[in-house]
Amino acid sequence: MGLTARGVEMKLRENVDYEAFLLAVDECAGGVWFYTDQGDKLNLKSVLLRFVFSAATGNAEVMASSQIVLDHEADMEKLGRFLKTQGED
Amino acid sequence: MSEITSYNIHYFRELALIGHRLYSWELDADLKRIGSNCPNEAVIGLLFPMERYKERLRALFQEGDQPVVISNELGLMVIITCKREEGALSSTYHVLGPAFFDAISTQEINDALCALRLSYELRREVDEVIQSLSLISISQFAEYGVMQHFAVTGMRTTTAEFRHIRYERKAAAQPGPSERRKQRGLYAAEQAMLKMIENGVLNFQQQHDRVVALSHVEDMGFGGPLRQNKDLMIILSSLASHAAINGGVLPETAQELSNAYIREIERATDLYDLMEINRRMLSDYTNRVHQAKLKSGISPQIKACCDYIQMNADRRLTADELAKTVNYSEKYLSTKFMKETGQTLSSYILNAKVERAKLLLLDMNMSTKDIAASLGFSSQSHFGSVFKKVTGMSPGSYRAKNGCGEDDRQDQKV
Repeated sequence: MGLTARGVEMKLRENVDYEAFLLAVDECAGGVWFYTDQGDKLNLKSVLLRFVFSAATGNAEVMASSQIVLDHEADMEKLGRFLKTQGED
Repeated sequence: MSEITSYNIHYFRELALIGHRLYSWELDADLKRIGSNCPNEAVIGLLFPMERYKERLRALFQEGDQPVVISNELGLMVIITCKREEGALSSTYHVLGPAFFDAISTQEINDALCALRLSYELRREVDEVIQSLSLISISQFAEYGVMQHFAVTGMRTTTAEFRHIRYERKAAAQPGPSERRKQRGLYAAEQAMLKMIENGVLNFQQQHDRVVALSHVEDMGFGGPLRQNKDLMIILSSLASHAAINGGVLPETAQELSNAYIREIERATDLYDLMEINRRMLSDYTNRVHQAKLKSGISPQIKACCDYIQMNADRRLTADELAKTVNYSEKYLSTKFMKETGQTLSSYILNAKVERAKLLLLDMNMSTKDIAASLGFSSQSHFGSVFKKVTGMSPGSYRAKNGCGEDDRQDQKV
């Protein structure tokens, strides 16, 4: 986990239940963003961009290099179980 | 489950897959996946997360057996059947889909994706997913729903008995003070534009641009931005048609025009097309009103003079300036204007200013003093007395009557 200019940056755990993750994103108070190494930035609260994220889950390489960024640190409570903490890298 | 039922379900799933690439899913009572014949189950399953519908589906199937259709904002839909055994709900939900319900949905998604400028890697993944989904008409999809229901329950049903869970758009937040002011500003700008159509003022472009600047599409709704803009334009066509009738165009002609433009709007394939139709449509209505007024016995010079007043109502106008625009002497213009319109130049100018003031008073960004100054009145009290003489009420009373009273002034301080 790291606090950067973009917000709280974290990686998704392997074999995460994406459906449960997206349900948890709905519960977050702030924005939740999906960044890829290829320069994509998706707002996971948008229906269209969630569609794109769902398609991206089919590409292991993209997912492995991606970051989840939270606008509100407090949303870690809701998403923590899906995200890797620093020591787990 | 009996052998016959298992065979029927299996046979139906093969049929749906071969016939229209429709995937079938089995979900448990908590809407978790048990199985599917979708080759890309993990990804496609995410496109239509079913868990969020758990309570509503349970409630609907407690009420009755008929299939339930769920659609979402992107134009994807699924049909769900659940069998009842001896009065109790089965623990398995049978789901068919997801499928896009028409070509517009995929086209709009593609347009929106192009605007996103996704990386090559993501775009390729998204394209593969879209290609792997069925594109089917609602009626065909519903027929498969009838078959699924028969295969699972052994009971006949009709599409008229289907229940529907539509996607829930988040309730629009109550507009805040600044949003309310903006809405009134938009309303005022729209009304001013329609007034120009009604008066046949050919140079309406500036007002039109103001309306466009104040308008915005809230968020991606059903069918996406193209559909939403088409709907707005159809409404505008109808309003413009009424304004043209008020301006002297025959109702039959205005109705025909409106129908023709609505057909064109429906045929538009992108937002650029719509913009072009919009400009042409407004110009057409205005021109026809202009022509109708010319035929009504008002000379082109007096019509030009009226247009000039309407366009410049927000500043001080003199008879001398107006006379110069039509190359008449001041005296000749005043006499001719009175003869053709039945009112004096100064009365026409003041009426135009009051009409403009009525619209500006709905915009809480402007104080009465600012409005008086912007319309070229020498003082707020002069404006007040002219306004009262024409409308029978003070500017403040007019504001209060139109819901822009004290509360809104409080808003302004926020």
